[in-house]
Amino acid sequence: MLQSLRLRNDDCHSSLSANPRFVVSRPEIAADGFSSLDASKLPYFGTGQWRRATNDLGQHPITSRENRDLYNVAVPTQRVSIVIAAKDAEMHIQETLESFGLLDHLREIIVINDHSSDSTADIVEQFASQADVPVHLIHAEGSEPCGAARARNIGAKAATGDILWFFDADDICEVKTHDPRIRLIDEGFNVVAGKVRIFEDGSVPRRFGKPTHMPITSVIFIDRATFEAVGGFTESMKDFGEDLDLLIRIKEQGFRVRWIDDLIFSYRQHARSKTNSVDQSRALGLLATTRAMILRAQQHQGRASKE
Amino acid sequence: MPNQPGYSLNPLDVISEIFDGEAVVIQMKTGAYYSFSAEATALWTQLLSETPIDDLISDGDPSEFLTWLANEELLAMSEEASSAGKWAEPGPGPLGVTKFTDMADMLLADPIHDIDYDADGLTIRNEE
Repeated sequence: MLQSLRLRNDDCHSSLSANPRFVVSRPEIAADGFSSLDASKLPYFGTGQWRRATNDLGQHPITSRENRDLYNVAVPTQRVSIVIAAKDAEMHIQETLESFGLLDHLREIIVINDHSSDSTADIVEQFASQADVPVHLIHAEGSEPCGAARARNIGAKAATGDILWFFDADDICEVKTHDPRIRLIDEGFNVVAGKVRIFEDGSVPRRFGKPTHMPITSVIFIDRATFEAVGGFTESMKDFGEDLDLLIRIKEQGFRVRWIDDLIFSYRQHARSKTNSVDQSRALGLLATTRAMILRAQQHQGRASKE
Repeated sequence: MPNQPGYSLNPLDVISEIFDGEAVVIQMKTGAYYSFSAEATALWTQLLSETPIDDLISDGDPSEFLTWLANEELLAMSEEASSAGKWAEPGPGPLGVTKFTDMADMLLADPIHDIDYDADGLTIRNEE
């Protein structure tokens, strides 16, 4: 189900939409007996079992993507919008998208194509045509790539879920069906970050590092209100350090971050080249983030000394 | 034999960058980060280019600052320089260095700590 969008920043609605509850939006559905279908009567909110729900007459079981599309039904726990900034990601984005296959609570996947010069957009379109969840492809405006930070902000504004999960276009989701982070968000945590394991791109068989906690993009599972309150990603950081910077600002502003031990995703470590090493880019990001922290501390001290 | 600098930098544990004349330095093992004044930045820049201790240009005696850097594990003194008495007792940071430790947990968790590179390419620490 492809919904290809071309949005400018101004076109994206940014308000925190009400937590979507069970909606049957087509009037003709009432004639089929669905008008009285109540989310509270559904036995289970997970996607897989939800597909086995039936109408109140015991007819027309909602067992497939086609039926779900036909009746345009949204389930209350489809709350998570996955936001992926993609630039020249043709090598890995298919695997990334497929890794979400069994995930509960998934409302939509939003891919922001940031001026890819390869077949990234085609791959996303092809995937979307066969996907069980809505896939939105947004093409970044402008003549130049806008950078991952801005691309993710655009995706967040287009998202309709009350939970945002930012994900790199080459990482692999390791959450199988039920996502334990949902409950913690409902308990009042603003960000729930799980563990990641690194694997080396191209290694056969794949060698995985020990699962650990890292402040990188794909751990950012955040309630939408918090993301908006901290102002989203710092767009001047473009591609380096914007993830750590966001997490640090969240912590600085006193929001609740919960680190859990569940393995959430695998991080693809690309082989280092002499001209563009991954560790060098991370180091630059770390330094830029640290510089921003120091400036905020200095501004705070300056304000305090004036008072 | 060229003049030895008298110290060594550890690029695996310390990263730094100059922003608008101010050095930002991160000690990756401790998670501490530092903001250097213009004077300290000028010295740090010379250290990055491995300027020998005796050739360092500074308004004052740089040895106190060098010893402080060594204590913070931002560089390591050589045996020769140490035995030659080129290192002073660490001072209170007279060159204007501000140290921060408030985000050590975040900085220590960054993935660049978990990756080593050698002649054969990437090595993942703590492999399963």
